[in-house]
Amino acid sequence: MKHSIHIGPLLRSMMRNKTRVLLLTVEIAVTVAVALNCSAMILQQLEVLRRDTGIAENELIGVEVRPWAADYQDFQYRQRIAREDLAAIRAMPGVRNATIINTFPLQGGGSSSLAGPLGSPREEWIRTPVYSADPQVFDTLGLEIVEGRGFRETDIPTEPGPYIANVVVTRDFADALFPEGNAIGQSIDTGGGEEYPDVIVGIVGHMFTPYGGGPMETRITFFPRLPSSTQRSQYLVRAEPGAVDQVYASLTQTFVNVEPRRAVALRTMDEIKAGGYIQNNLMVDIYTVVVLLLLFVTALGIFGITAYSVTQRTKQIGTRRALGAPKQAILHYFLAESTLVSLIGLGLGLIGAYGLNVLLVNHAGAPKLDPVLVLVGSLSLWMLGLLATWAPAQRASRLSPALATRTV
Amino acid sequence: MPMLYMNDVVKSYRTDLVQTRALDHVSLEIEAGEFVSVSGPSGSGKTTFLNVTGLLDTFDEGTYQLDGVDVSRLGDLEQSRIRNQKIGFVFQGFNLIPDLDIFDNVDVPLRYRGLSSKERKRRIDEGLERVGLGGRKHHLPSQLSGGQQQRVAIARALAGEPKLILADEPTGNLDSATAYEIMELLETVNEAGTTILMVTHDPGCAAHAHRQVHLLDGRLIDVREEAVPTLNLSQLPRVDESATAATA
Repeated sequence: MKHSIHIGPLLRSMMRNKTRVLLLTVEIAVTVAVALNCSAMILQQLEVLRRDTGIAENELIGVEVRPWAADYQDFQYRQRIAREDLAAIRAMPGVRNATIINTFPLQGGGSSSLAGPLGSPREEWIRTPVYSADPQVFDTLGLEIVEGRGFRETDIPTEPGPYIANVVVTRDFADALFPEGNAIGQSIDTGGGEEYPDVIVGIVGHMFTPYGGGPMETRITFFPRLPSSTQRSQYLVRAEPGAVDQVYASLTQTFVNVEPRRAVALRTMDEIKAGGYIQNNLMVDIYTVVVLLLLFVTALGIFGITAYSVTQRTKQIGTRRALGAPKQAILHYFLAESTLVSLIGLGLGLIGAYGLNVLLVNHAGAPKLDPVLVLVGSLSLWMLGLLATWAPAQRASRLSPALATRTV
Repeated sequence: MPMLYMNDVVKSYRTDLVQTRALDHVSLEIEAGEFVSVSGPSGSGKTTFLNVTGLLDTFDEGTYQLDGVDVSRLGDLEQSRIRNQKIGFVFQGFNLIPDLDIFDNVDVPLRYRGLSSKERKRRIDEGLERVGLGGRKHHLPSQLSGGQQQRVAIARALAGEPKLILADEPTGNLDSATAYEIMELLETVNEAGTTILMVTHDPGCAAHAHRQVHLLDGRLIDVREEAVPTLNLSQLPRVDESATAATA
């Protein structure tokens, strides 16, 4: 006994129930078009969230210090306390290194500047996020100097005011400024003009920090300084692997021991990062809700229409059973019907998805649809259709052939 | 070997409060080529009897052999195969699938049998020609009269070349002239060698059968030896409608 799927009569029957088929195919097509584009944007955001920052994120603790003593008005006092803080932190068990820095990387935004080769027209300058930190910043962040050198103690200015700085830049920034690859030793202008140029002394292999998108997120500049203001100082502490909790527990006391007249607040790098990626996380959440909602409504629609169809065709199912259809043939009939509707909906949906994608790529910075995503998405929607059909189809297959003789 | 052999078959319907015996120790033997009618008042168990005979429903006790095969305890697949290959059904309401044209309707049982498209086409064409609807293959059921629809249903039953045709009130929804035509068609089918078991409450239709049996309160009365034309159904004892409603 064969009970293979009878596509011909099934298609002809579907064509005579255009309204039902149209409702389902339109619903599936809209879901495919929107869900695929939303999924592409979710993947785009996840890629940003998972992007290698080049920073030893899991080993870092951020410390924000807010002093209230009048002594902090004095630049030299702030410099001395910064050095004492750093020495005390580095002496703590479990600490690998520490740095004082103007802005936490990955927190989103911060300080940036336009820069260009010295003497180049200002219109050609490139925007770069700027970090000011002490010489241990590279080891603390886990960044590798791939060319030239890092900072030395002698690079740090001893007085406030403009100065000729030795700077370290990322490889991406060095290549953007000097495409020939001869960045080391070159003078650049970050606003100081001919009088106070900056000199590139080192290049960091890779670093990424969220800054609202665009190429500047990997074009970064480091200045040597012990940055502190009268209101606030920020430190990054790198713990040995596995010692983060231990260091975190005793950090506040270390700061208080050096200078008790200040408030100390600690944050893990995850907490700092959450702020930098808040927009990305929000977009992922919104798109995910949209996709899940669409899938739920579509599944509900398929389930509802199939269940209604089974109820409407009770007598017909009984007749088919009486004429020799085994239970499985009835199940297969409804699954095949669902598959055909899904295929038509998918076909229309894919045309819609690519059309919508062109608009989103051109006007909203969305990524192009990845063929793998399209394939996986289409298969998933087909599976969803089958799952939504399964329960009513099972119910149909369990209907008694005796319904054929019943007056329904 | 009889085409149909039923011995002491019992079928009951149970609800929480009531148990209704729809078939009460029914025994019947039908030889190949016979034309047998089953009649009885409403609620007598005719439909249940047809359902059990056509393997559309199970029974509780007794034995039942169809064309030499004990069908008492078969699984769904095997029962479906027998329904498909050995039995042709003609229903009171025709039971054509409204979304399919006449050709596809007759094709339904043939597809379940897995015949080649060429063989299916041959049988469909032959069946529709035999009932006089060869030119209506691509009409929908809704475009045909009741009599024509019943002819299609007969063509569908015949296309499977069954050994037994079970007809459930085949003229119940037809006017008398059309009913007569359908009965003549069934007689022709029977003359060609197909066994027919027909459930009807119409004495006129029953008169076309070689043998008439009657159901009353789930019990079978074989009137093979009785004077059928003089039987007056209205003189039979009244049936408690409420007690037997579940069998309708």
